[in-house]
Amino acid sequence: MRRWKTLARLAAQSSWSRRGTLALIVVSIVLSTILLVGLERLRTQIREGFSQSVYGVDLLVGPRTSHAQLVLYAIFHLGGATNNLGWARAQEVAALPEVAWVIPLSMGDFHRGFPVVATDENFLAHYRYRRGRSLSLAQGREFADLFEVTLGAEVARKLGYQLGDRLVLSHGGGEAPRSHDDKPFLVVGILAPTGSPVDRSLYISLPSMEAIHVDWRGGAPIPGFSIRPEEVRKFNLTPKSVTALLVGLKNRRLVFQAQTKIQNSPGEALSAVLPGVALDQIFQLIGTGEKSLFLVSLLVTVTGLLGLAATILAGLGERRRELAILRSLGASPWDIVCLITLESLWLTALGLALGLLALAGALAWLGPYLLTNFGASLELSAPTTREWLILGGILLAGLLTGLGPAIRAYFYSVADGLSRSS
Amino acid sequence: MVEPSDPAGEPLVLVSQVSFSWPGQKTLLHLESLRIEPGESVFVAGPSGSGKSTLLSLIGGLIRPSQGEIRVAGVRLSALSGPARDRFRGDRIGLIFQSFNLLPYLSAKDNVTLPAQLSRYRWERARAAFGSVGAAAESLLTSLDLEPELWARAANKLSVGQQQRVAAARALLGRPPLILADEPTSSLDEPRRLAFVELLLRESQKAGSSVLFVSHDESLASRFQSRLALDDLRGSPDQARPR
Repeated sequence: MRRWKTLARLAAQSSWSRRGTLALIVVSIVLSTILLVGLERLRTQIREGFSQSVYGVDLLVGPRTSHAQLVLYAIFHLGGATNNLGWARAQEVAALPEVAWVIPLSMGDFHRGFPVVATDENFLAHYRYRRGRSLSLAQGREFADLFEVTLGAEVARKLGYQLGDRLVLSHGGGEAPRSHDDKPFLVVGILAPTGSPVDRSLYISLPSMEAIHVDWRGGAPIPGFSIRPEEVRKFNLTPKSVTALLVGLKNRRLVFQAQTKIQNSPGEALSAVLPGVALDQIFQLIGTGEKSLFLVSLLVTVTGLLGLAATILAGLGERRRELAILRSLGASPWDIVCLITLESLWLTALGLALGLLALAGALAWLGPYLLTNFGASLELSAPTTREWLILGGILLAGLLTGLGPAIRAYFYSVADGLSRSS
Repeated sequence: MVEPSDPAGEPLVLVSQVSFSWPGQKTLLHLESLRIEPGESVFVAGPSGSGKSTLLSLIGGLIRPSQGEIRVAGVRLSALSGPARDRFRGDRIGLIFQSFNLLPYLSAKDNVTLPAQLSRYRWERARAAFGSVGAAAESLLTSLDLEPELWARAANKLSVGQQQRVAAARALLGRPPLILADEPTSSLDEPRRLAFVELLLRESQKAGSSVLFVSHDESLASRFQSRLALDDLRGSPDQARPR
């Protein structure tokens, strides 16, 4: 025990006397740690952000179509719905005894490339994203009346909208979208950033969606027929159809029964999708970038550790005499091995600790900025099991790195080191 | 741990028929016989290149003889493995080098206590005599005229003479039976050489340690109980031991 204390103290004092050189090693380990853990966190959060774009929705219900397509347009608003789901059919689904709540989604309109989603108050009440976070308003309130719109965070930021601004929706996102310029919308609220597709969308009520299309037929205005916004309230604005439904169940363990029941119910054919499963399938396709990211960070770490090995090995020459002195005073070759390994171990540990600290600082400082400006949700959190494994791996690699030079030093003869003059 | 037997009459150091050469080179040193009694102080003279340092390295177990046998405190050095020899040296032998070989990043006092940190034998002997290793170091440093202000100073911030005395205190700590000193005065001026040798001999006598002191400076020889010329040792050792 006393011997270990002696060796630890000698290692510490010796390292301190070479702190200039060793600081560089620590810096390189700090950088490796930041990159490896940072990239790992980015990677998992990209994945998590994607596969939990929508959370707590047990089933995604739409007209009979492929699951991936349904997810892409209902959640990411990519591509178009081939057909819609009748409002009466939607009401039937909502009325099923298993169903707790339903968020209807109606799409097809855009504003300067951002999708417009018509929905109801259940959206703000029940929509959840990453690990069950609910939506909140950064400013203003939820859309309520006709021609009121609530903006996703990125829409407001990119287009520079503020409360009280007016904007015009257009029909379809194609090359020459037709404008609904006769019925402008008032910005009444802006949602807080989420790092999910919600940031890139505009939200209006289902009656608003009906209202801007009362004088339209088959995707175009009826020629010579126009209804002014003031008059539109006289019409029946109950939606005729919706694009998809997000369904929450009372008992989510019964999700497969509910899925079967919905898909087999009589009437218009429906698809019911478990969003998490479908999202994972899509991510399999686009997730190759994620793997290369991990490879890059691994290479970075290997480079850092090679630097550690090279510096320790190079420093061995100048420590030869010091080690010989210790041997001459009774330190065994094993003590020397311990001394050198101890040094690389605690240098690695110091680099890891500082790296984690720096990363935590950077995330605390930059996290909100990244979320707002890049939609990347990088949060300060305790390391995950996988991250602990990575940290353990770096530490082990640091230990092994020190072992090489240590074994070399084991074979240094005492006389050799001492005969060098000061 | 090999417990050295110390039967009455057995010399502390016994060298017989030892020769040494680096692999593939001609013989550097050949020694028929050498005896050092417990508590004896021996001066080894000889021109540089005569193998004086090699002799110390052999007795100190820093290198192994190509032939022959070396016994120190009843233990055959050549029978010990490398780590066991390191340990044995740490326990029984105090070394003073020409270039002192202090650890520059340790304080004077920490340099002195280092042998006790690495050897239980010397730890216990220092404690038995002074109550604690720290007290033993302070007592030695005081006896060797190193002012207390200097004790906490890093070894590389001391003057040559001060480093010398720290190195001597380090060798003496824990009262090893044998002190090996390799040209320790070569960097001192004339009057300080004599003073250092007298301090060293006085302290090693107090500690009951034998001293094997190698130097080319013959003027120091008179202070030692016996004097050996290395040339004499090669060949017929019996006539070469004037008392």
